[in-house]
Amino acid sequence: MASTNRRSFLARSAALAAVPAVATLAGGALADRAAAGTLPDYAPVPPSALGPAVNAQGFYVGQVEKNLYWVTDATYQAAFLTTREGVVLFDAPPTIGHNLQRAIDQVASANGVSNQVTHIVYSHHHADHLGASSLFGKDVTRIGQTETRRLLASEKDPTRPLPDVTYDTSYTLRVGGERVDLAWHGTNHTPDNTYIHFPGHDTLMLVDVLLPGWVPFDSFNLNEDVPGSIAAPDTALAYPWKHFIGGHMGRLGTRHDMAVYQQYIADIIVGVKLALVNVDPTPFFAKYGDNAWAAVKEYQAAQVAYASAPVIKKYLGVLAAADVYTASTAFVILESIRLDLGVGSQVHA
Amino acid sequence: MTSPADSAPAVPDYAPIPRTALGPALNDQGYFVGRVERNLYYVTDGVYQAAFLTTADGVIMFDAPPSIGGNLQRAVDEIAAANGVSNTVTHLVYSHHHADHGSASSLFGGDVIRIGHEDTRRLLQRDGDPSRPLPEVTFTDRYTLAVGGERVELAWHGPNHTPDNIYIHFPDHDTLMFIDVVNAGWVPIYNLNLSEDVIGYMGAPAIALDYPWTHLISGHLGRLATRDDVAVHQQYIADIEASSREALASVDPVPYYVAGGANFWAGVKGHLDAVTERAAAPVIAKYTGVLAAADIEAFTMTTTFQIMQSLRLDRGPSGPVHP
Repeated sequence: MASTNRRSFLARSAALAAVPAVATLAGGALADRAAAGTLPDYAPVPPSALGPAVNAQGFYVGQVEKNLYWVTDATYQAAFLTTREGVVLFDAPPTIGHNLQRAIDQVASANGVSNQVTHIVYSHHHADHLGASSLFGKDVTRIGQTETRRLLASEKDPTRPLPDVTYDTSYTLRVGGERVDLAWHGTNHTPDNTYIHFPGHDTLMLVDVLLPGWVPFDSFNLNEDVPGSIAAPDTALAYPWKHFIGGHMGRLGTRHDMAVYQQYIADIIVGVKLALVNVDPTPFFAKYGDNAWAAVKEYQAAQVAYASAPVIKKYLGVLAAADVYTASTAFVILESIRLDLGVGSQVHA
Repeated sequence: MTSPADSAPAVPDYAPIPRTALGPALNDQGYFVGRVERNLYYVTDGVYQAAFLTTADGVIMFDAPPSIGGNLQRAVDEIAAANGVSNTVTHLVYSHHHADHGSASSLFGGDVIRIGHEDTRRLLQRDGDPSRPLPEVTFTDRYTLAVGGERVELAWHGPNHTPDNIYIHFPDHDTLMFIDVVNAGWVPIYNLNLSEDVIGYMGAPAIALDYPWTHLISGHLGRLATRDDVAVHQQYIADIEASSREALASVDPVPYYVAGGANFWAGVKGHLDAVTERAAAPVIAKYTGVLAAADIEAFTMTTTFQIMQSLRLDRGPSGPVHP
């Protein structure tokens, strides 16, 4: 497989870390531990989680519907719409980087349309989905939610130029006879995350909520607003669509993927509510006395183990990496159910 | 019947906590009430804190943690009786919407005037918890609460721990109340004290220090905080940030992704665990014996992980651009 060469691994790892362009293999004791093969084993990834193979340049570009395309490096995803007046690009992940224009060139030349990117729509402000925006220069019209602009203004990252066009709750983008509906329905993954609906293409793009075929990344995908993120799939399903662009991993999603994901989160919530009732805090507080944080830590670790064990078992072979990240997501959901919803709160007499 | 706790292997031992982290002893009912300055008092159960101000027209309560619960009124009664003032709680100020600081609010009934940020009201509406009645009085940026000749300044300076967490300044009592950012004498718990906005959380102590005050009511653990406590906390966070930058640049990810193969999340987890361990280890070593619970590695590790991710995702760049 092409993905076993060092260059590919570096490109993929760039998704997660600001590694120098030329990383050295002398990474210290921890990397030595990796080299020595003492990392834990995990269950194999179900084949249904994987997408099409990437080409020699490290990308795959595919048609979503008609003139709407998606590009992936097997970890990140962007999309683009070819129109008679130029190309509208949706997100610009730095791990795909220059392959974005290569993918567009390939599709444009095959169809005899313009390969000129005239607009970039930002799904949300995070650098891992936008850090290649500056590659498209100053003459592109950038579009994003009001909060996206505010957050980018405070972050001052030259690779993510501010959007020129902003909106508060909804915006209809019309370019070259095409229509895209952008909408903000409240906070979820970030305060500014946008629903991008393609009514003429039976497609919804919503980034960093559902990662088709996979469990969420660490800590419930690092979602800032946990209740908002739990509610987002219902909002997404209220739109008509067949194809889903989730911004991550190697394939498109379906409504069935969204339903499986919703059930996975619902199962975690059930487990967490049981843990809040069934795990007895007494032994932890008795053991640690004055060290309140030691008691809290061990008690909550026991609650997380109680909540996540049946969920991991149920989803192994269904969602990739259920045994890698479910506990960390269960912890974040437990805290939200305790702190936001007040479940399990006992009032001192 | 049997919980995992009953059958769990013995839980680990941790380093003794520094004496400086502890507050005063609790009474038989499980609370301590102490004067902050003049007619401003704080109540603690050793883990949570609330505050109250006695005035000519009644008592203003600041937060109502359920773990203190019925002891809030007992503490008020004790002080009111000793000073011959009213023990009726007339106002309740919410620092933020979280249940662990607000769920004894309903004990004070329907006639109390509740005050909170507009987002506190919005979030409490969302949460639908009868133990935390909605604030009737809300504000967007600032609100001056004047009751019985006393003045309290409430201010919202952006999201940090939660979107709605406010600064409560007592200009005539040399005191700031600001919850769930600095834990006096202790490290933050998991994930930067479970904070939603990492950049906002990291910037908050500097905003707190811009106010004039000698006493800080931080909402947690047994004692009041000082400006020095805030400075130590700031240094702890700054050390984690510096260490995270170093570790991101120096841990080679390749072996982890090789080991993970098609299981990309396994590769990512192996790599990021290594970065987090490398970044957190010197911080844990430096603060053990300085901040209580610094040796509970999961706390400093998860806080480091959140800061490291925010450096990538918020501040950028997240990594190199594919050539």
